[in-house]
Formats: sequence, structure tokens, C-alpha cells
Amino acid sequence: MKKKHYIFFAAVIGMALFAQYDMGKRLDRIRTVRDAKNAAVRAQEATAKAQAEAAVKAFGIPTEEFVAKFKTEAGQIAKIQNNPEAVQARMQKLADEMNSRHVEGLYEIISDDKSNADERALAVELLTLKNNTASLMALQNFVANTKNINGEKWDHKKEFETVLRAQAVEGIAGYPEKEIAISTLNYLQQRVDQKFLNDRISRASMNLLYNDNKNVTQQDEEALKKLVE
Amino acid sequence: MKLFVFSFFISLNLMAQDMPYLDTDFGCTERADAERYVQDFNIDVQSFGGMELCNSQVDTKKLLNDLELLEKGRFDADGSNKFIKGFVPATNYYNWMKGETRGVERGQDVPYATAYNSGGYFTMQDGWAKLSTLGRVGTIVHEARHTGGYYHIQCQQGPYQGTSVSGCDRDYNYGGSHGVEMEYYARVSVHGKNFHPVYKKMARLMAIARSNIFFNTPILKTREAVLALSQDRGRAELFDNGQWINREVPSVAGRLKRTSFGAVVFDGVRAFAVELYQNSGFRDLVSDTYSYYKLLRENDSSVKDFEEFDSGVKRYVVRMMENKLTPYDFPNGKWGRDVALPFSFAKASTAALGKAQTGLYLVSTSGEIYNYQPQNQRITNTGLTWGLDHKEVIVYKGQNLVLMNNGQIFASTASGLEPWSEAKNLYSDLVTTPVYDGFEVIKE
Ligand SMILES: [Zn+2]
Repeated sequence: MKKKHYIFFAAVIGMALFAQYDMGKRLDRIRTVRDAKNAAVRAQEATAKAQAEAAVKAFGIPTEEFVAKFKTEAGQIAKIQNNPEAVQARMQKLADEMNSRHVEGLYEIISDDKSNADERALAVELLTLKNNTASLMALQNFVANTKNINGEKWDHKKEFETVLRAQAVEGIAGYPEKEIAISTLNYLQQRVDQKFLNDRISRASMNLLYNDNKNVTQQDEEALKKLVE
Repeated sequence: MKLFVFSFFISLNLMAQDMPYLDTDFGCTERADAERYVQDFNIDVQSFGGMELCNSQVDTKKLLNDLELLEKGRFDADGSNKFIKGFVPATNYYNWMKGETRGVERGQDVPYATAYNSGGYFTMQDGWAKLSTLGRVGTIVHEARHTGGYYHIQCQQGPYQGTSVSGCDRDYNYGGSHGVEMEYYARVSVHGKNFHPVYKKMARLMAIARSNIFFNTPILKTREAVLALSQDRGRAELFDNGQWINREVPSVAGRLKRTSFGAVVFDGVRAFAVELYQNSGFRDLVSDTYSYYKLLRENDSSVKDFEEFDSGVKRYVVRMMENKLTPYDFPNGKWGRDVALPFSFAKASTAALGKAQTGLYLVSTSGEIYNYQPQNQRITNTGLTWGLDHKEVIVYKGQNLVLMNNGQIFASTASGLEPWSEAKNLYSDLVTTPVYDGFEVIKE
């Protein structure tokens, strides 16, 4: 090989090395810019998400979306759930996303005995998880009313109707402001003469008045355990 | 509104993360499972509306959901041999069901029924299709038990008492259709591992609600205790779970009364709460603000007596005056119409010696005992008279207890009144009270 060639190769290698060096620097520069841009995008996205969450908190999610999520979740009641905790979290999130129109809509669903039964049970659950004044009133009125939304007396012989109302009573008892929960139960005690529901109302009130008593769910489970163990 | 549109867009993305919406098969039954269910249970698919794997509006899909829940539902196995006990093996609902089923079809030939079983062939009616998922699964388990020759008898209590349809089982231990259905709900509630939280909650409430409807010996009862006042009225004694416990009592003249919340001392105008669950250490009078006695707070002294009592499936509250009584109108939240009394009223009692059922008994000034029937607001003479030496009469565990004027408690037995073996002292007053810290479970 001639000397000229060595020089040529050295020059090529040098250029290649420089190019690589330069490329590296440029890439670094690009990366830095991209990262900065990403950070900005992320910040923007975070702000957007926070704004969206604030909006959801203030106005709830759009009704169309709420209905779609609600129907999907109701359908899930008929399915095996390998992660019940995740389902619980999902329902809580949906309840948090509800606005007053959705609460009103759920009240209509639970008060209509022709609605899908799983949807009614889910609606009571969401009103329970919502824990605001509107949801509490919806549960209270559902239990107090002697008639369905279609003007007929609710059928005391259908145990599902009773069970839904018992579920609503538990929702009321779980309201975070204890005094309000007690006074709501107190009001219902003067409205409900069905022995079973009246007993549930009394039991829930007693638990709130005497903290050390077992709550109604624990009492139920203890009794049912005795049956199946 | 811009905010709305924006949040909708963001939420759609979030939604895709936490709900498997975009998966089109979400909620569908695997075809292989469906075909196996159809074969195992000899399902007349056409009668259910044709094969449908995804749309739960179609009855076929409802049935497939139910069978999948029965096949794949799991129960917590920690603890001892709880699954060996029971009517149906908890680990094997599917195979048990399969063994009890010769065929399943959809029909509407017996409209008053939810479903029926004829020699192992089940016909699911419209009522079944309208039920909650839990109710449908419970119905299938229920029907399967009938294949083994378990039949219902007439209801002796609860909302179906007096109807001609045989709809009840003797008790839980009989292990009939209501028993296995109950067992399923109880297991889902207590040991269920992979069920939707709403399904589990409904199972708990369904079990509790049904325990008093479909069994002639109800499974769960409100616990009852006896509350007696010492002769000097200085303390109350509560007989609960076979033991006497001392309790404080408001130092005020008046009669001890049972309430839906426990007990009060009622002086004719006001009611003062008796603490059943604790001793506060203070002797202050605490006005009862929780039981129905609060309804009297603004009332005049013309009220001579007041009772809360249960009859059938309802609770009643009644106030009594010299020659009339007034029932409380729950649905309207106010006092109802007066009912005239055909005698001069002396006092009321929720029990009468010789009657094992509680109710409202009205004692006239001449000692005759009348019974008020709240369902039709009739007053009938029982033909019984109030014993001159009797102070109070209660029903405790199906037995009459009588507090005599001399402070002794007697129990009514087949051979007449005998001193109640649990009584340790002499007493000045006696009632039963509900205890709300648990249930009495009647399994045997
Ligand atoms: Zn049956």
C-alpha cells in the first residue's frame, strides 16, 4: 500500500470519527431539545389532565360517556372478576365523575322497577359511593317513597325490591357526616313500616350511636358464617 | 362548552385505560364454553332466542352468564373443612348442577312462577329473565335441588303466610331448594373470591332478607333480651345470652317500655332512654330522641299509653287515650285516624297471658283484655282477663313471663305458672328489648 493511501485512509477515518463525534454531539443536542420539549409537553399534559380532572370534579363527565361506562360496569356484575379491588376502585372513580344530572338519572333508574335489576343495584352502589348531598337525598327518597317512579306501590313481596332499599339504607348509614346520617335514618324510621327494613334502619342507627357495636355488614357476615361453616 | 369538549377528549383516553371498552369481545362468552354448557345442560337454545355469546339482552346469553358464574366462581378455602359441610359442595357447583339437570328451556306457561322443574327439566319463565344476575343464578341452584325430591310446604309466617301456593321450606336444616339457594348466597357473601362487589353485596342482603321469608322457622332473628327494674328502681338488670348484667336506669317514675331502639322509662308524657350497651357513669336523664316516643314530645297529657309492636311483616306504633287509639301512618309520616274504643281504657301490653304471639293488647278498667288488629283496625275481645296480681306480661323465647305485683317473675308452662328459673331478685318492672349487636341464628 502506498503512503498516499495511508493518508487517504487516515483522513477518511478522521472524518468518520469526526462525523461520529459530531453526530453524537448533535444527537445529544437533539436529545436535550427533545427532553426539554417532552418536559414541556408533559407539563402541558399534566396541566391539561389537572384541568380535566378539575372539570370532571366540577361538572362530571359527559352524560354519553357516563352512560356508556355505567352500562359496561352493570354488565360486569354478571361476569367473574379476578380483581375485585380494581372493580371497586373503578366504581369509586365513576362515582367521583358523576354530576348532579347523573345522580338524578340514577335515582330514576333505582325508582323504576322495570329497569334492569343489575343496573339498579349498581346505581344504588354509585349513589352510595358518591357521598354528596344530592346522592344522599336520592337514597333517602328512594327508601321513603311508597311508590315507584311509575306511580305504582312498590311490591313488598319481591325480595329484590326490599334488598335494594336495604342496600340504600347502608349507603345512608355510611355517609361521612355521622350526624346527617343519623338524622336521615331517623327520618326514615318514621316513614318505613316494613319490619325488615325498619330493623335494618334501627340497626344502622344503633351502630352509629354506639361506635363499639359491630356494623350491620359485620353482623350480617357473622350470622351468615354461622350458617355455612 | 369548551371545557366539556376538552374533558371529554381526555376522559376518552383515560377511559380506554381503565375500562376494556376497545376490546370488542369484552363481556362475551367463549364459544367453546358456550357449546359445553349447551351440551352439559341440554339447553334448548332456540327457546332462549338462539345462540348469543355477547348480548346480555338475549336470554341465551343470560343463561350462559349464570352457568359461567357457577362454573368459575371461587370460594375462599382458608380454614378447616367448611366445604365438606353444607348441602352442595362449594368447590363443585357446576358438576352438582349438571348432575341434577336433564334439560333447560325457556317458556311462559306458568306466569306466576319464576321457573319450574319437571323431572329434572327446568322451564325458565319471564320472571327469571327479569331477575338480577344473582337472582337468576340463585333460581337455577334452587330449581336443581327440586330434582332431588325436595318440595315446598305452605308458609306459616312471612309475606306468603295464608296464600294457597306452597312456597316455604320447614327450616334451613331441611336443605331444600330455599336452603341451597340461601347457602349459595351466604357463601358468595362470606367466602366469594372472584365476584363483582355488587354481586357480593346483593348476595349478603338477599340471604338476610330471604332468611325470614321462605322458612317456617326463620333463620335469623333480632336478638331479644329481658330487661327488669330492681325493686327500689335504682338499677336495671338485663338478661341477655343467659346472663344478667346491671344497667343504669333513669331515676324517674314511669313504666318500662320496649322500643325499636331498646327500652325507655315512660312517665306518660316523656320517655327517657335506658342504656343497654354501656353504663355511662352519669345519672343524668337522657330524653329518648330516637325511638318512636319522640312522636309524643309535643303531645298533651291526654295520651294514656303508647306502644311499638310488630305484627306480620310490619311494624306499628299506636297511642292510646281514654276511649280511643290512634295508629301512626308511616307512609304519610303523621298520626292516622282515631279508632274508638268500646270500653274504658286502663293500660296496654304487647303480650297477654295465654297468647304466645306478641301484638297489642288493651286492658279495660274492669280487667278485660282486648286485641287490636292493626291490619284491619279491628278491636276484639279476647275473652281473657288481666290477673289481679299480675303487673306485667311479656313473651320471651316463645314463653309468657309474668311479673307479679309482689316482684316475683313466673313463667307459663304446660302445668301452669311456675317461678322463672332465671329470676335472681325481686323486680318492679319487666319488658323485652331488641338487641342490635348481632343476630340470633337458628340453624337446627
Ligand atoms: Zn321451589
